Amino acid sequence: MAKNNSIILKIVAGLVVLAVLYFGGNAVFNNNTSETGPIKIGYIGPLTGPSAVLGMDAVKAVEIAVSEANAKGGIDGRQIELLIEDDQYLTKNTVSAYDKLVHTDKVKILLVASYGGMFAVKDRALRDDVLIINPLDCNKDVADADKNILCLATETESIGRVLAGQMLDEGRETAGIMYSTKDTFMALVADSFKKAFEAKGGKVLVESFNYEDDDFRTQILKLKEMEVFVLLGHDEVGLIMKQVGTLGMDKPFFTTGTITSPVAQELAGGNEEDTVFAFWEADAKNQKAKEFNDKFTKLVGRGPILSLTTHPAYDVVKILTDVVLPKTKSTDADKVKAELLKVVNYEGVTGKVTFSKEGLAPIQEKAFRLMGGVPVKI
Amino acid sequence: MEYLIHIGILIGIYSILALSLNLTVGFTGLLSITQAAFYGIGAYVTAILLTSYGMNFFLSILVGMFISGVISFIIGFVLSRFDGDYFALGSFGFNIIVYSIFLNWQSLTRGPLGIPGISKPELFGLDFNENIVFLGLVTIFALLAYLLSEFIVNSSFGRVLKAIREDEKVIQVYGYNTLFYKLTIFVIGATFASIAGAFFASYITYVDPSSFALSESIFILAIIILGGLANNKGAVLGAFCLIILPELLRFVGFSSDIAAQMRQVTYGLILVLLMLYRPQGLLGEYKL
Amino acid sequence: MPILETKKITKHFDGVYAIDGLSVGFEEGKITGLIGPNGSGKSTLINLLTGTFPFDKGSVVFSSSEEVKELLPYEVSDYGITRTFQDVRLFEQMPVIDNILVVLTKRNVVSSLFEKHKKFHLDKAEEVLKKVNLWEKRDELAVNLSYGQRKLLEIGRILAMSDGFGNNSNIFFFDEPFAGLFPEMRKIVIGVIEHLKQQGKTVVLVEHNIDIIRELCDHVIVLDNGKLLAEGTPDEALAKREVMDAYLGE
Repeated sequence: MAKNNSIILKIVAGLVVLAVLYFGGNAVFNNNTSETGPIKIGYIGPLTGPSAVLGMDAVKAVEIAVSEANAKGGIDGRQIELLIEDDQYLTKNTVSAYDKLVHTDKVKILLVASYGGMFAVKDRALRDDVLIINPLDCNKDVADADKNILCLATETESIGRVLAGQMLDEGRETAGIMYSTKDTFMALVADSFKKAFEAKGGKVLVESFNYEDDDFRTQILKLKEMEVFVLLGHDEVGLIMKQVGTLGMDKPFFTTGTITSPVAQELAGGNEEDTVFAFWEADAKNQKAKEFNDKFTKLVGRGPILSLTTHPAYDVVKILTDVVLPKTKSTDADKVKAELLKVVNYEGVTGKVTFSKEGLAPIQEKAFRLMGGVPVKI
Repeated sequence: MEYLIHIGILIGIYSILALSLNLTVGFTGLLSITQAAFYGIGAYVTAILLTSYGMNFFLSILVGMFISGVISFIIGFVLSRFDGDYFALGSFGFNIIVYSIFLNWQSLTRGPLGIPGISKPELFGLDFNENIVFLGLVTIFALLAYLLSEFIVNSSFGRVLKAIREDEKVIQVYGYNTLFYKLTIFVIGATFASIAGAFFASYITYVDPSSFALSESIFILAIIILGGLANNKGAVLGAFCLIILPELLRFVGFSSDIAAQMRQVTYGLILVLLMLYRPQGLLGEYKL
Repeated sequence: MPILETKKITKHFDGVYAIDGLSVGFEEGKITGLIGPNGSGKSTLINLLTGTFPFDKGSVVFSSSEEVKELLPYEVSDYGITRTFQDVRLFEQMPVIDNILVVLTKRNVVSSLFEKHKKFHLDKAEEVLKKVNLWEKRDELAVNLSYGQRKLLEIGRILAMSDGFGNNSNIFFFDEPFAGLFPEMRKIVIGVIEHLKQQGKTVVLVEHNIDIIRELCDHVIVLDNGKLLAEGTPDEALAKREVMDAYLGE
């Protein structure tokens, strides 16, 4: 037994030595930030795990953008190399993925989809001269975060504002919010709705629920005096709608784009009709968006599940490959950022893109109503 | 090298966690699924004290240890009423309660938004901003945790813990009030875990509840089962293996279409195979 | 003068009386045999007197005249009581020597943390293990011992309780120590019991083997259905009609 143990420890020690030699040697000898190798762009996001829906299609979108650029010859003859890492939306994994991409693969431009992970790597990005672009969340916290973090994404606060605005237009005075604590996103939306609604004299009561819950009656009953239910979650929102009906309540529902999911609608069992929700979809007249959608469907076999994950990510890479990198000819973070901030009214699949001086290009969501299972703009 | 240093830091943090859990599960036989809770308490205490009050990191560790110590004493006392599976269930429940508190006590923890901007330690003008220096600090604490664990388990006290694991009723008949022993080791384990939490908070610079969910407790349990229960070297080796393995898999050339999923499958497969062929763990002699 | 007496002690399980209003005494310095057919309550009585189960009614009186209505497991050794188990309960994943050392060391959390292996602990462990012929196996895990060796280790463990380090035990309950042992091992156990008697200790021996009872015991208590059936010297008790009927009826 002792003999086995010492063999195991020796093997481990050997592996550690090899690893140090490999990585140490890599650092010393392999400085591939040269101006001749491929241009590297990194993507870190959830590809597996409970939040995989936020990353798995986005990655395909980014791949499409990269292959389009490479088909045109790349940048000055240099191909674009896309490096993808999965972090399962877990903060410590984002940091590991960041370290691997930046220090081993020498990537200088990263798309980071995980909200918490983005905060965890922001100081590192500053120190390492790495530019981070968030293609999933654009909000005040991101703006305040760091000079090396930019975003081109749906503005989280706009969801809350849109819902609050619509409610106020309808003359509603009280709202019961139920939000999922699965990740930061719904909490941010709840927060922004509450601020926008209360600022105009509305009254709000807030309850939360766990992602895996399937019985929401306690929270529903606590909110029963409120005129409207604001439901912020994923497919389980359909279940909440059903249970509201079962409890004999007839409340108007306000929610997010997750209600467009067929699973959510099935769970709601008819109660989803007339729901008001904040949503973003590509303009039907946007030719580029149509072409992108076709390419995506051809590659994946279906359309994107959530366009707000795919379209911004696609536009980020297209702007980099078509506008910025041909000018900077390098991935130097300061140069790339300076050029990004100059982008005004770029015509992308998300519409006209302009970066503010803080580095935000927020995409506003709008109010829709669900009619016959189809989103109709209000 | 930075990447290796990063992995080294994570191994150090998880070694402390594994050593702490090994004391309760491996040596005392208390099937505790609470480690992530105390890990989280330590992390949040450091996060809040550093960002809101500018407290010194090392002082925040002491505060975290004190708070974890008190909470674990109370919880340990409650859980000691239960045996075996019921103890595990109770500890499970406690972990979920603490997670819910992180998520819902928003005025204190900012809930799912988390607490960003946690600074690195500083001591007498020496700062630990450079990762390699931070690695040195974590390594020192991990070493101290290892030495302390060895001291505990090799003492007469440690022998009693093992006897409790083997047959608590019998060791009671021979004159031991086992409640005191179980409480003591439970509190020691909790304070170790809170130290690991403090380091995690400062290193990652951001804490949010998702890092301290039940799955984290289970991950730490997997580390000590893999490394070998009731073996302190095994705990460290387990941490080494389970941190390195997913990172190594990043370098395996799966096609990018399926890389992420294949890595998860491979990771799971390796664990299953290890448990089939070496159920006592890599360095263990004792099976759960 | 009884060192330990029960006063109408009662224990039932799901309505069945395992021990029913039993009042018996164990004389100090003597070897008392506790016999009776299967299910008569012998092991239950030992379990009650060593804190394994609480008693429903009655009390226990010690020679110090202290009367207790409740015995907690970790208190019994304070009263000088120790025992072996019918189903041999060792600390399986610990070495033989640790099984002995654990009863020799301080019973206090803080002191045990800082206690170093003192030479006299190891010497005592050596003495005890040599007495039960297990010194050669001292580093072996208890789970790897043969059945007979396991019984001897248990005997060694309570022997280690007798000399003042762990606790100064003076009431020894042996629950069927001879079952399944080869003759050479039986001799060892007999030697241990006689050694204890020489030291003035009190021994209570639960045993089915009547020859051993006759050979070793000064006094015999016969139980049946949780009640006292007979008591006296071995010859006296075993000659009684009711005792023979109880055993034949088995």
